[in-house]
Amino acid sequence: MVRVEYSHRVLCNSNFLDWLSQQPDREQLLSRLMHIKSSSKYHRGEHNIILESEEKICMEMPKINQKYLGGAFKSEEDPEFLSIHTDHISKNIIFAIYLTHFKPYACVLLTSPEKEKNYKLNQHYNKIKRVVVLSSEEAKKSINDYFRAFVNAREIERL
Amino acid sequence: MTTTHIIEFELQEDLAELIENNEEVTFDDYNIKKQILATKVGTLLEVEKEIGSFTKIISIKEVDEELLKSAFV
Repeated sequence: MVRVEYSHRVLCNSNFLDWLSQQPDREQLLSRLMHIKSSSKYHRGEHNIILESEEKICMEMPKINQKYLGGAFKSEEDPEFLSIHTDHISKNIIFAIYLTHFKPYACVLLTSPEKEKNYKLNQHYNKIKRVVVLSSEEAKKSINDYFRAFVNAREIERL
Repeated sequence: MTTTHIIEFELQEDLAELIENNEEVTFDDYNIKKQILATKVGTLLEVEKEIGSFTKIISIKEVDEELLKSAFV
């Protein structure tokens, strides 16, 4: 059974998916995210998350078929504790911090290159280390690194 | 009875474990079971299921980049 202890949970926003849909290697990245979501040791099927409020934004102008989006990211209803935040950036950062309360106690927050700076300047992102905001090539690198861990585990399992 | 269609993405071994441990999971065609068991461990599958009272596996497809060409609108 291929199970991987990934170093970070994955949370994404609608901007990341918009960016992803424009990448020349988008099918490969989506496939890799789907493999990661399905093989997590502690959060099988729930490793990669998108808040429902972010998914709704995606569905207003869909660029990814909802079936495959669900294969890559589990849609999670916005918890009540996020209702005090009016902006999407704070909601996503607070939720990413919340995800670090559970194994593996760290989370990457994937966004678009255009939004990365706004996330990093958000007051809630100040001085935290367990949440890492990534975009563009760094986001691709993290996905590829996690997928490599999956492939290694799969090769061992197939021996 | 109204049946419910669902699509899920599962690794081969998780699907194999399900069918080995739950006799209420059936198949539209017995060849699908053989196909699942013959697929390599660690292969991600798109699984179409129908839930009435029993669960019926209707089809499986291997998730690869070719399949995901239809993922982007």
